[in-house]
Amino acid sequence: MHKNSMPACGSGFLARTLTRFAQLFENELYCERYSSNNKLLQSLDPRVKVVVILAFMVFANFVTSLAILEAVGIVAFFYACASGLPKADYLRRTWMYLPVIMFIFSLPGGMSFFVKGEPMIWLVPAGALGSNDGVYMTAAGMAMAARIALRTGDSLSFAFLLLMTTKWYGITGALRRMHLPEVFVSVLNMAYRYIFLIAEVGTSMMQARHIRTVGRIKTSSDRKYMSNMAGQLFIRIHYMSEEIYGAMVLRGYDGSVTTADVMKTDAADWLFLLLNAVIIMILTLGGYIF
Amino acid sequence: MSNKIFQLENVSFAYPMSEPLLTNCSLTIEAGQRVCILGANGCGKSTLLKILAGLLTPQSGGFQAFGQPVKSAALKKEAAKAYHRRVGYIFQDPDVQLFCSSVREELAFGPLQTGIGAEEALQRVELLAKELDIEKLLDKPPFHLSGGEKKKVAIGSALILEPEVLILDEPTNDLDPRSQTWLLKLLQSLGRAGKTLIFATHDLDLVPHVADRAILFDEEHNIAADMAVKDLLADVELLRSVNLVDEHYHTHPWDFE
Repeated sequence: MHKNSMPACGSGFLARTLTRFAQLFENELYCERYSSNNKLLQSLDPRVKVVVILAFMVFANFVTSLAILEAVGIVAFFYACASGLPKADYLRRTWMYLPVIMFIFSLPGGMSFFVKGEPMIWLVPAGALGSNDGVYMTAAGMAMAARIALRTGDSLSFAFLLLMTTKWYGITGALRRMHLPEVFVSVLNMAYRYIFLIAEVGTSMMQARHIRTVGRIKTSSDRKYMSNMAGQLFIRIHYMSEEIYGAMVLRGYDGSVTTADVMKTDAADWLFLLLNAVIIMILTLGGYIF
Repeated sequence: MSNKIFQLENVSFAYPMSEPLLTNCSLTIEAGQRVCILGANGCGKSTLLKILAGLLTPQSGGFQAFGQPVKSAALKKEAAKAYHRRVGYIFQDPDVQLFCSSVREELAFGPLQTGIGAEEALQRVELLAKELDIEKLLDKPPFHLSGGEKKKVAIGSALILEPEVLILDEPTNDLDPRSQTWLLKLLQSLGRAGKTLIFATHDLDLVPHVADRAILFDEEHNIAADMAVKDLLADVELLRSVNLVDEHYHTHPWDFE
């Protein structure tokens, strides 16, 4: 989030909560901006994109070779560049946080207690602190942690590519065409649609409190306010959900949703599908070699 | 053949554990009429509109629409669809009416749900979007729209079903003056096209330009007056007695031009 878009609400609990709400909106606007570009991934049929991206995510979670996992990450990075996504931002959002955290959290599992193998990093030398064999990170353990981090990064990269290059209705349309139950797609759609409205109401409530706040507020008071706010939001949303249901019924909703498929698959989509099938086959073969 | 669209006889309604919102309400609305429902906040205007739309069922009294008794609990599947194709409803808050992921899907939702084929539904969407000047919004998610744009899409989502009756709850709420003028012209053209218009509003400037009949509710949830708009707005004492206006309210001759 850019510093100049921080809500001017000081620091502390209120400011942090408002910042989170603001980030939600900013994220959505960010997605909308890049999904409107007419670059490589944006110009493809969302169904083809969903299939290809799911294929890469599944592949990344089955492959064990570190080199191939890195190659999958490079493929995703190439697609990000070809789709006009800002490189630094792409790397920051996909590789900087979650994969690093996953790697750090996986490290204890790579110690000699759990994974046998060649010592790589000695934590307690052999014979020290009453330990005959010592405690060390094994090469196999480090590779396991790296594998988990790379799989996370690869999956995140492809999920990010899908969200950044596809308008929301394209994603839901593609899910429908993949024969996901309509109720699942509808609930997902409504949740996505109304989370912004809930965030908007939440932001207004937080701002209303902020402008009536002088000096510091006790943490216990903050907690009490949060629970009150959650209750208020629930009541409002409950009322709103009844109205939304009424609005749906008034336009013919009877429990099932009928949609019109406006997506078209052309030669470029088939070529993209074929190209990625070849890439995955090459990577699979590479997995046996490396 | 009877021209009556809606007929209410001694209709009363109350939400569970709440005070009544309508008490012994009787009225008849005929085809092509342009009716505004007036009254102070909480007098039961929205409740009446929801009953007319088939969303709420009166607890007592008789309610007929298009010559048939209506019980919304009995409005199931095809009967409900047929009813809602004839009666369009526009909510006060457009956010509750816009639940799809794009404006195109939003406009196509009603036609597709009521059994109109996908091709025809999408054709209707294109035509209506052109008429309402919202073509540029078709691929946008509804939550990215401004208040005026949301209202336009909400109106479009009801109009696309080509209803005989259009019910609007506080149609000018949250609209800037330019959008209010747009809405005014739209309602006038719909009125000229023979649609039955029923709307609840607090915007007394809008009323004489769109409605020819006014139904006024008092704070006891009864109908206090049912008369021509011009006569009602001239009766400031009556409007004051139901707490709709204060002593400074007045009209001008040009309000009715």
